[in-house]
Amino acid sequence: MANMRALRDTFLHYLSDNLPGVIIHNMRVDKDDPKLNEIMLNAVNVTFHNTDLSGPSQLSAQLVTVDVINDNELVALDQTEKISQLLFTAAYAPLLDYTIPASPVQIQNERLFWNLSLGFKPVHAENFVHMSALLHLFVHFS
Amino acid sequence: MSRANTLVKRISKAITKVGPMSRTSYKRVSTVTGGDELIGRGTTITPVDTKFNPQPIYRQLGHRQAMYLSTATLQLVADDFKFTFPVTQVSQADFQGANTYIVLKDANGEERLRILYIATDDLGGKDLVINVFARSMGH
Repeated sequence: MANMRALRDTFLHYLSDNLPGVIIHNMRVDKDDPKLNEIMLNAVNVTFHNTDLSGPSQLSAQLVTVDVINDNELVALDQTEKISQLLFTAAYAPLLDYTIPASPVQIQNERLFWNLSLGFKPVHAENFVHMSALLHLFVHFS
Repeated sequence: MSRANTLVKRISKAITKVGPMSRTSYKRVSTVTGGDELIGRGTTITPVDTKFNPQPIYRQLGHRQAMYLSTATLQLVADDFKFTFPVTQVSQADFQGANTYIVLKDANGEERLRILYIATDDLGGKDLVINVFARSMGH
C-alpha cells in the first residue's frame, strides 16, 4: 500500500476540499508540466520535503511547508487563519486512496495525523507577502 | 523607414546568418486534460511542438553542472540558456503561457527548458529583439 503517496493526496485534498475560494498548488517537479515547479501567486503553495520512513510499529513522518503567497497582505492573513482553523478542527484525517481521483477510497484502519501547532513565519519578498509554516505529517507506512 | 525598423531587419538578418545552431529549437505548448492535476493522477498531458522559423540563436550561460543520463551515450548539461529571437516571427506573448516551454532537439533526443523570463531590447518603443532566458529541465 502506497501510504506515502496517499498521505500527499489526502493532505492536498483535505486543504483543497475544505477551503472554498482558496487555490491550493502543490509544488513538485514534473518535466511534462513545468509550471508545477513554480511558485503560484495568490495561492497556498504546498511543498513536500523530508520523508522519514519508519518500520511497521512506528509512524513515518513527512515534512511539508505550507506557503501562503499573495499580493495582498490582509488576504494572506485571512488565508493563514483559515488554514489554521481547518487543521485545528481535528488532529487527523482518514487516509484516502486517490488512485481513481473522482472516487477516493478510505484505506482501512489508516489515518493521517499532524500536530495542533502551526507557526507561520514571514519570508521576505519584495513583490508579494509570503507566510510559511512547517508541518510534520504522520502516517503508518506499510 | 524608421531607424527601429531598419535595425529590426538588420538584426533578423544577422541572426539568420549566425545560425543554424547545433540543435533545432521548438516551442512546446502542453495541454493538461482530465484527471486531477492537484495530485497528479489521471492527467493527460499533450505536447504540441512548433518549430521556430526562423530559428533563434542560443547561448549556454554556464551556470550549472553536468547531468548524466542512464544511457551511456548521452550526457546533458543542465544549464541556463539565453535564446535570441528576431521579432519578425515571434512576440513576447508567444512565450508567456504557463504551459509554454522550449525544446532543443537533435539526433540524440530532446532537452526541455523552462522559460525563466523574457527581456527585450528596444528602440523608441519598438522591440528589436526578444531574449528568452530558459533553464534545462531534463530530457
